[in-house]
Amino acid sequence: MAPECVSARRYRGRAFCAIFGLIGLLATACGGTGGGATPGPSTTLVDATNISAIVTLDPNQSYEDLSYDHDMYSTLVTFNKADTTKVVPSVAKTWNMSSDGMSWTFHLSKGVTFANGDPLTASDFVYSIERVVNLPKNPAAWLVTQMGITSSNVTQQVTAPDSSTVQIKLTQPVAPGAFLDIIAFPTTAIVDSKVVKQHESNGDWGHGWLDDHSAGSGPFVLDRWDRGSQIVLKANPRYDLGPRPSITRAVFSNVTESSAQYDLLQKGQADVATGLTYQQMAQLAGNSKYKVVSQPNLSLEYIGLDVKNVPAFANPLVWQAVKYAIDYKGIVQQLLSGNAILNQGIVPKGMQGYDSDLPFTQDVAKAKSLLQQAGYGSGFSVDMLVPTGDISGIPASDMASKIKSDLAKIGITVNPRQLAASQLYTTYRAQQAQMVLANWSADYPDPDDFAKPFGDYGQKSLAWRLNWNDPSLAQMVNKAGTLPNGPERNNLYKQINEYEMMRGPFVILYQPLLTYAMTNHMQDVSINPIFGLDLLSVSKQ
Amino acid sequence: MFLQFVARRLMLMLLVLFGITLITFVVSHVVPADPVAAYVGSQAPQGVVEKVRHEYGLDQPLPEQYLVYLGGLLRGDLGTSIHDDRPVATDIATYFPATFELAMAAMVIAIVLGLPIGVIVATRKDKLVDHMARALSLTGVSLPVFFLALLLLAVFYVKLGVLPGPGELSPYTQPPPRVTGMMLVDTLLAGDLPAFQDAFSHLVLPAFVLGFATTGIIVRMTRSSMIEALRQDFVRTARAKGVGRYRVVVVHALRNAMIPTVTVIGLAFGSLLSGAVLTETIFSWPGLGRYATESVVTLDIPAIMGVTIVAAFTYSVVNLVVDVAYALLDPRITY
Repeated sequence: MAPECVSARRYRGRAFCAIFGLIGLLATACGGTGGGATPGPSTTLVDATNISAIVTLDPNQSYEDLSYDHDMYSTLVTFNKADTTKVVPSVAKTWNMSSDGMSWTFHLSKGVTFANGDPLTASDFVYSIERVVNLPKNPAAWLVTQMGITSSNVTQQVTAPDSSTVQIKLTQPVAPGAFLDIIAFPTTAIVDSKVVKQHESNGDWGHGWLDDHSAGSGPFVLDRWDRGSQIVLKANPRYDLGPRPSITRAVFSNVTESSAQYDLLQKGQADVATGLTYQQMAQLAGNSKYKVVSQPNLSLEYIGLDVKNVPAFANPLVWQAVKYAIDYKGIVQQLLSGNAILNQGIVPKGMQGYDSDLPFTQDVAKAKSLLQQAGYGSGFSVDMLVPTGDISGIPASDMASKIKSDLAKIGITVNPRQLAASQLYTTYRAQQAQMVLANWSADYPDPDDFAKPFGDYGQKSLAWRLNWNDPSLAQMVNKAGTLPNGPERNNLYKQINEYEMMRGPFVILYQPLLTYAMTNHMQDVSINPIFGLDLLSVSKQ
Repeated sequence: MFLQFVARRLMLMLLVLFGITLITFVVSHVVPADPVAAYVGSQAPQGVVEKVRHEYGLDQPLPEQYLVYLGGLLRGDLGTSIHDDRPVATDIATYFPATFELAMAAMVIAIVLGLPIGVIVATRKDKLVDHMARALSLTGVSLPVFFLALLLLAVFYVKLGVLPGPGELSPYTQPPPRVTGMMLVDTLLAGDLPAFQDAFSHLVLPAFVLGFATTGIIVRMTRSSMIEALRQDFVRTARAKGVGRYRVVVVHALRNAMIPTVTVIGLAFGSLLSGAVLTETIFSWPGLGRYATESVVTLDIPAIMGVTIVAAFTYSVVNLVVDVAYALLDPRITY
């Protein structure tokens, strides 16, 4: 027995040695990389954020998240930092509109160059617009084609009489404000036509290459995009359209879990986090090392009532009843912990035509009597489509439960049906919804982008999806869509807002906030409601 | 004979892959949803939806769409993703290496820990160490991956700070040029040792989390087949001949006990690839699991099919390798 014991022990000893040796090796390899809370170089910014939804960085095709393209490309005109109601010069130093509003001429600054040193000329802009309308499967092209500029007429409508002049002739009237907003958008950003043409293959207008490369004249260039992992921008040393950024390297690290974002921020391995829960933000707000910065997002959370699929919703009194049944303050203050602002109009705060009136507060008795008048005193039941995932930082199901309980108080039984976006929008777009909890955000920051979807059935957008056709409202909306910014346009939008509030099947719940949590090292923070954190102005101490 | 066996298995594999394309295609289309609705977003005008649907050929009859897909597949074309408008093969080539690296690391951890522990507890049956290992295996198999992941992150990253947090590299580390897509390999190829060390330390936690359940399975399987093998006549004979205990256990018993373990390892590899979905999400790992999740959420049918085919293919190949390994382990097995 004795020899066996010895050798068995030796054998076990070897196995344990191997295991602990391995663990030791791991520990050695990991030594010192756990990271204390050091903020990293002051010229590098790390943003822990979710970039899973980014599918392309080609500016002429970007539609969902425009902040990266905004940082890498210039446009003829741009927004005044965080104020999206004011358009200011960028590549174009001046511009003028013909008296009938159908023709625009832009005069470009001389000496503007792309990041590679190529001169930026008017023909680069013309090429960029040609790309927008010609790129196949381009979800953003409609921003330009809605102005009557299409793949068949673009070469006649958008021209470069000389290297520093751009002329755009519209084929249908567009409000000057809306037109400039679209021209300020990254969709119409100027790409280096010389470089992109070199990378064209099989008539793809260089999209395959520009998908994950940059060829712009913005303050940053694309250093690398490791899909699913990170987007890294580095400063463009040739940027000459304004002061250069103090951040020379910006890393957008793909961290989808809020808990992981929170940990990285606390460990000093991220400077900014963009997807924290309200509890996490509240914890940070009580700590002097961090700050939480927010700005009203140009979007609205709403409930849509289908006026055809639910007989009760054919009666406008029922819309009113629903509007009086909702506890707006409870939603904003309790459910969203104050991370939203009350807004009941169809134009968000931060845009021309915004109306701060709040005619509805929860009044169960009034709501019940309105239902009674409509002949639905005993209530009815309805399916509500709800997206999966989060709404404004809380689970969508929590929001649905709140609405269900508010409407239950007046006898309406809401059955929430949670569906993935692809499924929800298939049903909604097929005009098959009964009631829907959804969001509308600005495609471009002009009230036209809200008034038309919410008010004009002919647009085949929200009003159409809910089978609501109100020709008199559509007339007002279309008229406002052609007026220049000014008192007349503002008054008309005020009327449209009131009309929608009192006589529309949309229950506007609130306007969400765009919120960033960051370490106190971050200074000069400015949040643009469309492009997010302004990399040009931000600095790190 | 052997070649015939491999050829037969390859034929079967093709049949399996064909079946999988059919099932996946049918299931994807049963869902009453439109991938184009996800691609163009919730706001694009109705005309855009119809235009894009036509450009992707999604307005064609289903059998025709399937035949077109199959035709492409035979030419090695996995189609174009409806989510990001890139060839699915390119997408998979982008995301697969990270998952492969993670799954391989998990496998190494599972084998290196699981086999010796299994052998040790088999020789110490019903002793304290055996009970401890049983508790550990049970925990490994029954503990949800996301819970273990969050727990280990909280302890080793947040509290102790001895291991790094989510991601493949620290945000301040300059990543190496992409060659294989596997961070350990690429950092080595670039000759960047600090980056290699950073990548290695980032791999430890997710690989351990992913490999933990497999470790438990391997421990249990090795233990039971070792106990079985140690009872065999040839083990008694070997001992009677005076062969050393170590040699008896490792050479005589273990080799015979390996067949069920190797089967489990083969099967586990498949579950590692699929189990990677949660691990990748929590550890922000840019792998195929994340791509698959995104594809399902957006109902990106070509991508869902592509991922399924690649997973099925990998699984089939691993199991073929396992079957071939039987013959190497046990000369009595012929094909």
